[in-house]
Amino acid sequence: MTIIELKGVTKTFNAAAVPINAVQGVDLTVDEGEFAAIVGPSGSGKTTLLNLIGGLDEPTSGSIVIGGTDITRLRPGERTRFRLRNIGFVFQSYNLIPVLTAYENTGFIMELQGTLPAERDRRVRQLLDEVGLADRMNSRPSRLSGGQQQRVAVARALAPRPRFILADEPTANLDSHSTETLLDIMARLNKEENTTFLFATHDQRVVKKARRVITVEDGRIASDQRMREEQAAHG
Amino acid sequence: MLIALSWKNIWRHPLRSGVVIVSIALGLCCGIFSTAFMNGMGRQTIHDAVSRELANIQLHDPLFVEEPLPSRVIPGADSIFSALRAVASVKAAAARTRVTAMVASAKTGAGVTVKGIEPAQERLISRLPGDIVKGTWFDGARRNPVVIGSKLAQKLDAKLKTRIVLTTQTIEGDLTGGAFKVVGIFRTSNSTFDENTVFVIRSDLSRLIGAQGDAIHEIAVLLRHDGSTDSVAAALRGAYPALSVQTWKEIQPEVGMMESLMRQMMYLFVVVILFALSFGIVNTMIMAVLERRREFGMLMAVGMSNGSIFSMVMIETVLLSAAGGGIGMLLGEVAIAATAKTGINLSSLARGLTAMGYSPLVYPYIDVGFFVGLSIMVVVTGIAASIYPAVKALGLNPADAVRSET
Ligand SMILES: Nc1ncnc2c1ncn2[C@@H]1O[C@H](COP(=O)(O)OP(=O)(O)O)[C@@H](O)[C@H]1O
Ligand SMILES: [Mg+2]
Repeated sequence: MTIIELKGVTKTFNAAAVPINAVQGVDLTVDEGEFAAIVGPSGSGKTTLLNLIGGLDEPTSGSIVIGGTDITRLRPGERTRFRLRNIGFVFQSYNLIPVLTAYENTGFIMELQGTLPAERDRRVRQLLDEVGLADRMNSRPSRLSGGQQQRVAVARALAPRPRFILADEPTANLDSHSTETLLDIMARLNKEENTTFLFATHDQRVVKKARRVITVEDGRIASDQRMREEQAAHG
Repeated sequence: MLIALSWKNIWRHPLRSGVVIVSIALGLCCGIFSTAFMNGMGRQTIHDAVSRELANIQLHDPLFVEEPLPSRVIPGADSIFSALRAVASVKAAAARTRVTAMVASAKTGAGVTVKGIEPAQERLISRLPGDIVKGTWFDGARRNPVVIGSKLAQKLDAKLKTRIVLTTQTIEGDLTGGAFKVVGIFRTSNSTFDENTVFVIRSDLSRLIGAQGDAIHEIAVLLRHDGSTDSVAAALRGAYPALSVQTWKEIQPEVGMMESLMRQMMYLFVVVILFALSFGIVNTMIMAVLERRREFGMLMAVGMSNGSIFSMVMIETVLLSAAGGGIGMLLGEVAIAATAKTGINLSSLARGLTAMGYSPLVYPYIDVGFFVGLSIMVVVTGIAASIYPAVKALGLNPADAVRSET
């Protein structure tokens, strides 16, 4: 089932003297359960594309339909609410709330959604267990390693069961071991919960794990390859 | 949830928040104490006026209030006076003869109010006998004794035993005069009163104005509790519809006005302090917002509404202000409690104060209502101070902010 559908999406930044076409006429479809990486050199438009799909930015032209809703037609407040209900975000720099514990950070978005405490508690414990941090539940981010913080961030994004998760360079600040652990966790959750993952990355370790690699160059999709399971697993 | 989070956010920078909280606390504490001090001074002035000159309530013939002619006595004053003294809420009462007169010494003359009183009665109702600085309050049975204020004594160049002449009207409207001998000189905290008021024996004055028996123009009533002034006055108006019944505020509106003026001054003073403090609060909150750009970006990205983000900043600001405000009010209250019983003695500065009508002993005082008003003002300050930082937070672009350095 298709959950993300971009048609003729273009984004032009007019801030500089010369307009920059960060994304140019992109058509893209992502199905439920995919584990896909958007790759390409720095400045090729990966982040811009992800921001457009996540409803953080509006395209200059084209349509972005998510689960049947054209988010480019939503008013700002509606778009914020749409993000809260449908999209999970994982950021390069983790962006946990420093004054909250791992447990509280993981439950934060569910709390924003108004999920009942009992249900939230169950889900948070389950996910912290999945990402291997059940014993660090009461630690604040400053007492966790980068890899551990990013695992909390993944748990936080997954907790409210979004339609899909957008992750912009999630491993850029991590060492190989942490990257490996994080990717394994995400791949497992992708299978177990059938959550769709869309990464922007130029990290080869991530690309190897992806089952679909969308290459972007100068704001255009240069290639779009689907790997078979074994291929992805063995790199 | 927002409240708990906001409270935790305050303590990200314990030192910075602590400085703001302490500055609010100190500012408010000083503001409250100075306010209580001024308030205490004002109350003392009112208290002095009530306890020396005015009493709580005065009864007159309504025509006497319009124009104090000697003939305008209170009809049936004796029975009214006895009835008043039997009322439970009445502490004491005094019946007076009152005329305006010219007083003259060998040196000069002046216009004064002459009160004909019974010394023993007056002792119960007025603190004035305690303010005698020379001579006595009508002790010893000399003929035509008079007690005058120090300011008047100076003006007339009168000392104890000096003879002065009072010239006034009789009940019939004829001119009359008599010689009186100074037996006492008083000094109060109100120099105008000291200059304009003289006291003589009631029967002497009545005789001077040609009355048969004692002419009673004025009955002054001192109550057990100042707070019951208005209700007792209302009851007396019902009981004596033919008389003018006035509370001290009605007799001297300027003293009553001082009370409300003081209240406004108190609020104005604290508003100025809070206004000054609010700049510090705004500054701190802008820092707090800017150094958390990335976090606000994250909150916006994951779907926190503008309303919630605004509320979070606002709650954080209000909590910060309220913490300082609460401590400040507590400290202020402690400082007031510590000095309210014994009072603060300003006798070294007292000369100037007395000239302005103030007493040298000040008892700082603030009522509960002021603290309630203050709490509201602290919260309003917090809300006002949060608007700019909150708008600043909302102005962030989530896509940029999540990737920023801070
Ligand atoms: N807010 C912006 N204003 C102007 N230009 C931008 C903005 N964001 C990105 N760009 C430009 O768009 C292009 C694509 O950037 P980006 O999407 O960040 O690439 P990537 O994530 O692949 O490195 C770059 O040339 C970048 O300079
Ligand atoms: Mg990028």
